[in-house]
Amino acid sequence: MTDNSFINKRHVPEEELHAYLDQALSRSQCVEIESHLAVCAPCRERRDDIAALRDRTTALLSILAPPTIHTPPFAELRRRHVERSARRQRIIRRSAWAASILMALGFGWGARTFAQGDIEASAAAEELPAAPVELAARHRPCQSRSANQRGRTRPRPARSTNIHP
Amino acid sequence: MTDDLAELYQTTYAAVVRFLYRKVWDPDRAEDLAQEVFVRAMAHKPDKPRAWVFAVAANLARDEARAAVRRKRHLTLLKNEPAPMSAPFRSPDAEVEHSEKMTKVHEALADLTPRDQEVLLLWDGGLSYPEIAERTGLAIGAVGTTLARARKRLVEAYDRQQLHKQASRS
Repeated sequence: MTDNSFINKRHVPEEELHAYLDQALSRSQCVEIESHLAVCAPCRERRDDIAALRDRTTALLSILAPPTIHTPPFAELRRRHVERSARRQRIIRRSAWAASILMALGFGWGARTFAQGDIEASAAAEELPAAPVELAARHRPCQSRSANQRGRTRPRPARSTNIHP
Repeated sequence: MTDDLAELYQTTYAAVVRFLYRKVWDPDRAEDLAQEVFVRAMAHKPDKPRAWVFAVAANLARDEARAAVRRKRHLTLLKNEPAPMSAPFRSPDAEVEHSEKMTKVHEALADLTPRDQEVLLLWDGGLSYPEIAERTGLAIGAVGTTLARARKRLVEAYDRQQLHKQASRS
């Protein structure tokens, strides 16, 4: 009762009347508004104006509609969905095949390169006694270079032994 | 789930086509996009199918408009006018009158802000206030305010056009 007397004192805001007419309010809010409308003529008038505005909007928007709307059977859409899913599955399966083939090729190539490297190394090891210096130089480039550098260095002039008195 | 979707399809398909038509202004394209929306719904199985359907419809319409502008293919969109439609059940006079009305409503709708347009079209599509709020990011309380403003502006813009037309005729 106290609530109703409070509600009856204030007018219902415009947006609440829109929400009321759109049935967007809770049951208790509807009861509050209806109890206010029962005793408030200006709010009733505004409610009628808003109802007319709402109907007019609906009528105007109904003009903006295609002349005919053909609703295809739901089964038709389901068929499209099934086709699309099957196509997607096919693509995934093919991609998986392609990926596994690529991986196999890559693995094969890697294994071959590794095996070739092994063969070359063993062949080189077999040839090692024939040319020990060259091979040793090839396998120890840093040492050989430093040795060469050492070989290229000009001999230092002998330090004079003359000592000034 | 499929039964729910089938029921939603029967009750909502026309509303989705109208919603899309008011964005792409091409009846055939609107129907194609609406069907695409429901085919996608079958794959996604959304929890709130009604709100989801309108959200996807709005996104598809936006993509469609962008693509059309980018490719400069869709002349009616560039001119911002509805596509001419065949209505065999109307007399030529009625057809002209309907076409004029349609142009005026379309222009009146274009006077609204994008937010007001979106809320009004979603409401006309049959979405509830919470669904509109979820879709647009507005508070539920603000949906009523936005809708009140949008309705008033649409009718005012339409009446202004009527007056303008009468003044130009006289």
